[in-house]
Amino acid sequence: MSGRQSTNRWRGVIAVALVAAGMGLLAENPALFLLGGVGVAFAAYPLLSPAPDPHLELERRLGAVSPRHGETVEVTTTVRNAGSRPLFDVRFLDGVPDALSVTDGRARRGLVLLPGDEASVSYTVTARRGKHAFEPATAVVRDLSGATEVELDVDTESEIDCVADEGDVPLRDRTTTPAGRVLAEDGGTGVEFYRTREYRRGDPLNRVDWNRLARTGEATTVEYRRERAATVVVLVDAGAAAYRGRGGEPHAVTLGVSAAEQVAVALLEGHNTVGLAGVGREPCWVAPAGGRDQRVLLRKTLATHVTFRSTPPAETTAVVGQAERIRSRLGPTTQLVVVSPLADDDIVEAIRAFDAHGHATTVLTPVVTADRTVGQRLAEVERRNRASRLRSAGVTTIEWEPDTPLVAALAAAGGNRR
Amino acid sequence: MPVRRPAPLSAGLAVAIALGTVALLHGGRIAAAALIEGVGCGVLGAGVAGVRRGWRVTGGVVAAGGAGVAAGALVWGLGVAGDAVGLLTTLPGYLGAVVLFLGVMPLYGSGSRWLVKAGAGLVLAGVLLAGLLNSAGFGSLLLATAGSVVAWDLGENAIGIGEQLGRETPTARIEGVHALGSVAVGGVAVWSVQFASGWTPADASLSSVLVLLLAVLAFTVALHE
Repeated sequence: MSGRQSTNRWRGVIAVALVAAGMGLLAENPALFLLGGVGVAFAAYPLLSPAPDPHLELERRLGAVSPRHGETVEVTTTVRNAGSRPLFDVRFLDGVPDALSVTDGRARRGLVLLPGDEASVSYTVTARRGKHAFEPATAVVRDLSGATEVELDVDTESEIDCVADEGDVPLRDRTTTPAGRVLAEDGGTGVEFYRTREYRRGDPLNRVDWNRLARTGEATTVEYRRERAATVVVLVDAGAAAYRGRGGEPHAVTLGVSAAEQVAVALLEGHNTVGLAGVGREPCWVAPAGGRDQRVLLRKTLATHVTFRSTPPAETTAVVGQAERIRSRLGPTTQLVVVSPLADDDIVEAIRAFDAHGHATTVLTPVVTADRTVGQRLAEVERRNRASRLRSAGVTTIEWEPDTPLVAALAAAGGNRR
Repeated sequence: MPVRRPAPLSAGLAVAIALGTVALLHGGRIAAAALIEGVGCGVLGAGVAGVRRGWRVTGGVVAAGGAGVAAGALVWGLGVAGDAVGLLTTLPGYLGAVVLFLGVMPLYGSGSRWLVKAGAGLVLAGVLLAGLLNSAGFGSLLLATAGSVVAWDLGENAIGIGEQLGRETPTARIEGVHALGSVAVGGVAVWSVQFASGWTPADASLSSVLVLLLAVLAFTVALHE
C-alpha cells in the first residue's frame, strides 16, 4: 500500500559544481570556481529535504447511492491531512470504479495540504447497471524538492448500486382480489383457480409463473393465483471463467450478483422460500427461507461473501464439485435459477446435473461477449452453443443484454419460444 | 491511456528563466532579443496546443507566427552579440532555451526530460563560458548559474506533473510551491557563495584557491554518503 521511492531527479546536479570548479581551477579563475558553490547547494537540497510521512483521510459523498441507469451522479471526495507535517506536493487520483467513466470535472488534483487542511475533488460519473464499488484512491506525495516520492492508497467504503429501472415497473394494483378471497367466495376447497396470460413488459417479477417458465420456457404472468409457495434457490456462477466482460463494462459476476438480488427479492415478495448458492472461490450456501430476515440475509451475503467478490480468483475453481455439494442440499421439489454467462463447460455440466436430478432449472445468462477480435467471436460462438445445448436438454435459458433491464429479457423470452 | 502533456505553468516559467539568464548576463539589446524570443516561444506553444486540440488552421497560423518571431529574435540577438567572444557566450544560452522549450512544448509525447536537461546544460555552458571569458559580473554569473538549475528543475517538474495528473487538472498550487522552494534554494546558494567569497579576495593566490577547492570537494563527498 505504501511505497517510498527515490525519484533520483536531482542526481547529476553535483556535476554542475564539479564542472564549474574544475574549469575555474584549470583557468585559475576564482570567480568561475566559486560558481560551483551553487551546484553544491542544489546537491544538498534533496538530502536536506525531509521525506514525507503522509497520513491522509478520505471522505466521499455521492449525489445518489442508487441511481438509475444513465443518471449522472456527483461525487465529492474530501482529502484531509491527518498528520502533523505539511504536505507540499500531493498528487491525488480518486478511485473511480473501472466500469464507470467521468463525464464532467476531473477525478484528480494536485494539492498542498498543511496539517489539518482539507481539499475537495468534485466530478460527475454516469451510472451504469450493476454494483460499482469505488477503488481506493491513490495519493502520490512528494517532498518539496521532489527527491522522494511516497505512494499510498487511501480508502473509504463507497458504492454505487444501479439496478434495473424499478421505477418503470408499475406495482400491481393491490385492490385486485387476492386469490384467497376468491376461493373462499367460490366455496370450493382444494380447487386452485388461476388464470395466466402472456408476460407483458412492465409486469413485476414476483408475478412471473416460474414453474411454467421452467417447464415450458414461456414467461407468463399469473393472476388471481392462490399463492403456492415454491422453493427456489438462486445460484450465481462466480467461477474463474465467469469473470469476463466487455472492456470497460461490468463483468458477468457483477451483473450476476445484481440480477440474483433482483430475482431473489422478487421471489421473496411473492411469498416463496428462496435460498442462495454460489460456485467459485468457495461454495456459498444460504438455505431457503422466507420473510424479511431472509431478504436481509440474502442481500448481505451477496454483498459480502468472498465468492461474489468483484476481483477474479487467482486460481481455477472446481465448479462441478461445488455444484454437487450444493445439489445434495436441495430438497426434492426445489427449483433452481442459475445466473451465469456460460463461459465454460463446467457450469453447463453442473446445470444439466441439476436438471437430471429433477430440479426444474432456469438459466439467466448475461451476454458479455464482444466481437472485436477473433478470440472474442469464438467465445461468443461457444456461449451460444452452450445455451442451445441447454435448451435442447429442456432447460429454459434466457439471455439478456446487460444494457437492457432484466424484465425486458423476460418479456422477449415470453415472445419467442426458444 | 491518453498522452499527458507537461504542465504549462512550470513549463512556461522554465523557458522564461532560461531566457532570463541570457538577458541577465548580457543586458541591453540581447536582453530585449531574449524577451521577444520568449514571447515568440509562448505564441508557438499556444499554436501547437491549438493544433493538437483540433483547430488545425488557426493553430497552424498562430504557431507559424510564433516560430517566425522566435527565430527572428534569435537571429537578431546573435547579430547584436557582436564578435566571436560575444557569440560564444550568447549562442549556447539561446540554443539552450530553445532546446528546453522543445522539451516542454512538448515536441513529442509527454515531453522529453533529456531535452530539458540538455537545454539547461547548454544555458549553463553559456554561463560558464561567460565566467571564463570574464564578460559578466560575479553577481550576475551566480544568479545565472542558479537560474539554469532552476530552469531545469521546473521543466522536469512540469513533465512529471503532466505525466501523473495531466494538463487539464488544476496543479498551479503544487507547481507554485515547488518553484518557490527551488528559487529559495537558489537564493540561499547565491547569497552564501557571495558571503563566502567575501572571505577570499578576487585576486587570491592559487594556494588559497586550492584550499577552498579541497574543502568544497570534501563537503561534496560527505553529502553523497
